[in-house]
Order: sequence, then C-alpha cells, then structure tokens
Amino acid sequence: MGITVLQLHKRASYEFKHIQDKYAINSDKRTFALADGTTQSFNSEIWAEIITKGFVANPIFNSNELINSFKKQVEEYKSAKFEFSTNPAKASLEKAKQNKGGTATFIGLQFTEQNKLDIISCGDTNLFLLNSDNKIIPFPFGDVDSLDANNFFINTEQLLQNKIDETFFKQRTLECSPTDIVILATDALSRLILKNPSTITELLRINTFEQIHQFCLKYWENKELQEDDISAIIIPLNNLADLKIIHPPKDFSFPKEKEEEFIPTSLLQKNQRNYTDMEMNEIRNQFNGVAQDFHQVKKKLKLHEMLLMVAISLLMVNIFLMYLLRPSNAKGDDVKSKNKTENVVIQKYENKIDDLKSEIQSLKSKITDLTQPKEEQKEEKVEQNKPTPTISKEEAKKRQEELIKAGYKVSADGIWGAQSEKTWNEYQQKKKVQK
Amino acid sequence: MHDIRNLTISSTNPCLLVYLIDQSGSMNEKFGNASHTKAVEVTNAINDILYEVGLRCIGSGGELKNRFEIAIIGYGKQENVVQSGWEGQLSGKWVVSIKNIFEFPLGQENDKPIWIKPYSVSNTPMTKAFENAKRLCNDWINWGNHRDCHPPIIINITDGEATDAGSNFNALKSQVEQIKSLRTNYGSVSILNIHISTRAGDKLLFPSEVNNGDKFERLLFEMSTPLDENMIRIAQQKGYDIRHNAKGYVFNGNATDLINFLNIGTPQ
Repeated sequence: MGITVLQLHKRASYEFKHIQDKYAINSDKRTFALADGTTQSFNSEIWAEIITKGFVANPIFNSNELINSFKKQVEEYKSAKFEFSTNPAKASLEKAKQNKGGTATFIGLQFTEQNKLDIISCGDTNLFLLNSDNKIIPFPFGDVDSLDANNFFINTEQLLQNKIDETFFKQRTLECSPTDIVILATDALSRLILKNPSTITELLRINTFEQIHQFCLKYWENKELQEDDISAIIIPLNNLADLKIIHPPKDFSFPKEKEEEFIPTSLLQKNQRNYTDMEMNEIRNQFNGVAQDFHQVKKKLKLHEMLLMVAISLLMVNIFLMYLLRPSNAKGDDVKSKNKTENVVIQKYENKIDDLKSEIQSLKSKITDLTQPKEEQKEEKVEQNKPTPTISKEEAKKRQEELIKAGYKVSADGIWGAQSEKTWNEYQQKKKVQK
Repeated sequence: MHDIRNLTISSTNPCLLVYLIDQSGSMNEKFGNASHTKAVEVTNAINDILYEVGLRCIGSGGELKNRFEIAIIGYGKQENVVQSGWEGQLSGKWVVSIKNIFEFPLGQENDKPIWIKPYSVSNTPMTKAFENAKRLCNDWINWGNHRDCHPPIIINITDGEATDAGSNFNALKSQVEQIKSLRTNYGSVSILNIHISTRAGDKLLFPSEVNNGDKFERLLFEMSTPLDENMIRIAQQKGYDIRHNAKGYVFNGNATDLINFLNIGTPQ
C-alpha cells in the first residue's frame, strides 16, 4: 500500500470544488502538508492551497521562519481576483470579510533520513502515528477537549499585522520505524479518531470513493462525525513512492436541501400590524367594494327567494286541487258513510212510492170491476183517495188561471196542493155535466 | 442526547436566534454616559449582530448559507403589545432566514445594512414576549429536521421591570420555565438576559451568583441559563474572566459588552 489521500466535502457545500481542505505532497522531499481553510473567512481555500504548496516546496520547521514565509505568500493570496455581489448588503459582507483576510489551520511534516519525522503545526489539524504494536501517538492534540480548545489559526491580516508569533505553532520530532503509518486528518475526522481510535482501522481499509462516502455518511448519520469537510492523508512509511488519491468523481454532488420557509403557526393569529393611513384607506375602499357586491348579491338572492316561494305556492295549490278532484273513492271515510246513509233513505222512499203505486193500481182495478154504473161516484171516490198528483209550476198556474176564469176563488201562484186538486176535480165534473 | 461538539451549524442544520427587544418608554433614557438613548444602543447592537451573523454565513462564492434563522420580537411599542420587530419588506414576519435578511434590509448606514430602528413607547409586556418566544421555539423545534439542530437561543434585552409579570413575577417565571423545558436532540433552549441601566458602574458580566438586593436583577439572573461550553470558550477568547458555572446574564454592560454578549450568544 502506498500513500492514500481521502477527501470528501461537507454536504452543505454540495460539490467537491467547494472543499476548503487543501493538501500538498512532495515525494522527492518526503514532505506533506494539510491545511483546513475556515468556512467563515474570505477565500480560505485559496489561502490553504498557497501555504501547503509553499511548505512542501520549501519545508521550514522553524516557527519564525515559517511565519515569514507565510507573510510573503499573503501577496499571492491577495492577488486572487474576486467579483463582489450586486446586492449592496451582500457586497458589504464580502468587503468586510475580505478585510478580515483568509484563515486556515496548518500541519506540515517531513521524513528525514534517520527515520525521524519532523512536524510543525498550527490549529486543530492533527497527526496520528500508528506503530506496529497498533499504538497511536497523536500530535498536537491527544484528546477532544484540548483539540476543541484550540484557538490558533493562520490569518493573512494577522500575519501582516505581526499578530502571529511562534506561540501559535507546535513542533515535534517523532521517532518512527518503516512499518509505521502516519495519518494526517482535519479537525472533524481527528475528533472522531480521538473519541473512537478503532475508526483508524476502518479508515485504513478504505480503497475506493464509495467506501469513504459510506464511512462519512455512517458517522454523520450517527452524529459521531461533525458535518465538515473530511480529509486524511495516510502515509505508510514503507512506501512513499506510490500515491492514490480518492476524491469524489466529477459528476458527484450532495443533494441541495429544500428551501422551505418556517412559519410559526401558533403565532399567526397573534400577528398584529400597524397600518398607515394610506393602507387603511385602501383597506376601507376594498371593504366598501366588497360590501356593495355583497348588497347586490343579497338583492338577487331575495328575488330568487320570492320566485321560489311563488313556485312552491303554485305547486301546493296544484296538489290541493288534484286532491279535491280525485275520484270519489278517493274521498275520506266520512263522506263515504254519509253518502251511504243518504242512498239508503232514498232507496227506502223509492220502495215506499212503488208500494203505494201498486196499491193504487190494485184499488183502481177493483173499483172498475165491482161498480161500473156508478162510475162517476166511484171515480170521485177514487179521485178523493188519489194522492195529489205532482204537476209543474207552469201547469199549476195554467189550471189556476182556468179556474179563476170559471169563477173560482183561487190565486194563480203556481202552488198546487190537495185543496187545489179537489177544486180542479169539481170543475172538471161540472164541465162534464154541462156537456 | 447527541454531543453538541459534533454539530456544525449549517444550512441543513440551522440554528434559531430569538432577540426580545424592550421597546418601552423608559428605553428613551440615556444609555450610561453616552449621548444617545438605550433604544438606539440596543438597535445598533442588533443591527451589528445581524451583520456579524451574515459574515459567518457568506460563502466564498458570495452565496449566503441559511445557517441561522432569526426572530426579532419587540415588546412595548404599543401598550401590552408584542409584535415582530422586523420592518420594511420583512415586516410582520416572525422568523427570517439569514439569506432573506440580507435580501431585504431596511436601508444602509455607514456602508452597512440596517434592519431595525429604535422605539421607546409604552409599557413592558415582557411575560407576553416570552410567551411568544416559547410558542415560536416550540413550533421551530417541531418543524422539519430541527430536532437535529442546535437548540434555539433567546436573548432578551431590557432595562426594567416587566409590567405583566404577575404576583411575585410568577407569570413570567412560569413562561421561562416552560421555555427551558423545550429541547432538541442537542440540548435545551438557552435564555440569555442583558439588563441595561442608566446607572453608571456596577457592571456585572456572566456572574455565577448575584448578591444585589435588586429583585428584578435577581429575577433576570435566575431566568438566565448557564453558558454552554462554546459560549464560555468564546467569552474567554474575548477576554472575559468567567467561571465554569457562569450564567448568560449581563448587568449594566457597555456597548462593547453588549455586542460581545450577542456574539457569545451566537454559536460559531
């Protein structure tokens, strides 16, 4: 196995081109450097790249000399072109950030001829020396707390203002054997290794991009690894000639998160606002417009309501008439029974009339048979016994007028009773006698 | 609970900052020995801290990452009224992402954007303001993946006694206790208090105890949560000598303390 460089950008950066960890390797000089550009500083990745490249080209392990070397490199950093945002608020931020300069951590090392390892460091990028007994020697930080307490960075403006001195740097020379492995790691990965040293074994097995991708995802999801750029340089001392770089492929990117605006629902109803007079007038006008529309709609609704009422009334009348004019059997039980009673009475009287008629008929025939000579007397008797015939009013009037002409004292009122019939029969008898 | 040291505040895991600003009439008094009022001082500090937050979120390509979502809640601009402190195009919004904050500033002063103006008008409905902050934090925590985010931080800036705190401040204390019980997978909501006064001297920064007889000073101290490790680290970096159990409370700090306090309360 040769030298392996593992790198993966943080998910929030989406693409590998935005990674701010930079490294440099000089195989001839057996020199390595790793720098972590801080997210919050201006063009920090450019600064990280400049200092790592500068170091491997000219490795310096004297703090003051290294500071001077970095100072000289600030000019190169400042010459990088940058286009400011068209948004004045954002441009103001960019200018302020530019004024604060670029910031990065740094670690540089060199293997010397006598199996020695010179290291110089500033910041929380860490080194782990793994020997053949699987013993881990960390440098400069041996635990998470001291790593987190780090407050040293290399900042371009501080360099120019001579605010960075040798106290910012930690230096050490380690004894090493050809079977040892050195791992350089930026802060997130260093923190994971310090907390859980067994992850080194896992890291050493990584041979493909997919493996480093899965490794990071696993620890990110478990919240054991900080969401940051991940960089490691694995250096087996027995093979400094071969180099394998494991980076994300060109088409690889992390998905962009959905930009959803958080709205506190429980405060919505409490949202109060002061309106200007103009806004109030606008609201009033809109309200009046709505009120007018509402009035029109109400009027139309009233008309519709009336039409509906008329239609319903007509329908009800119709139903009522249909009820009244329905076939008789459709009438109620009361009417039915009333009709029935009336029919029985009529039938009774009709039967009586029939009986009387047949009795008169039989009497008539008896008289005719027994007393033929005394026909007139008999007839008179019969006539007397006869019931008053029913005649029309006109006929009654006619007879009464005839009787008046004949000298009878009757009135021509059309009323024909038994007395009228008797008088009429006498007059008829008289007429017969005169003949 | 997850280790907060493994958490990076990012656009995928943002942090909510809630600033409660006293806009009561007494904020019209002079700030210490300065010629301007307390309301102006607080407004400047808030505008500055928004700018600082922007600096932490702008990427190399000029894009602003939504690492922070910010609420400004004003209380006392009208009698017993608590309302969003955002103005201009952000007016009426409760929470605004840092990206939108820089899209819609109110204007510019000295080549720097500003978002809010000073107000000092009515009484001090602080309990109501904390109640709103509670609802806001609760909604925020239960939104999307926010349970996997840094817990919200509430920073209250006031100069006086709440007018709606109830008997023995019980109503206010109750709201504060309810807020303290809200939590994400990385810890519970922090409450920090800046108590500004017209009194000169008697400065008290990040104390672990208060001996003063001022009952409201004691109340605000008790309401404040202890500083977490990150806050202690930043405070120490800024030169404050603080003890491990220091609380997020400042009494009578000057302008620098005010902005430093806001910075300390803003996770890195």
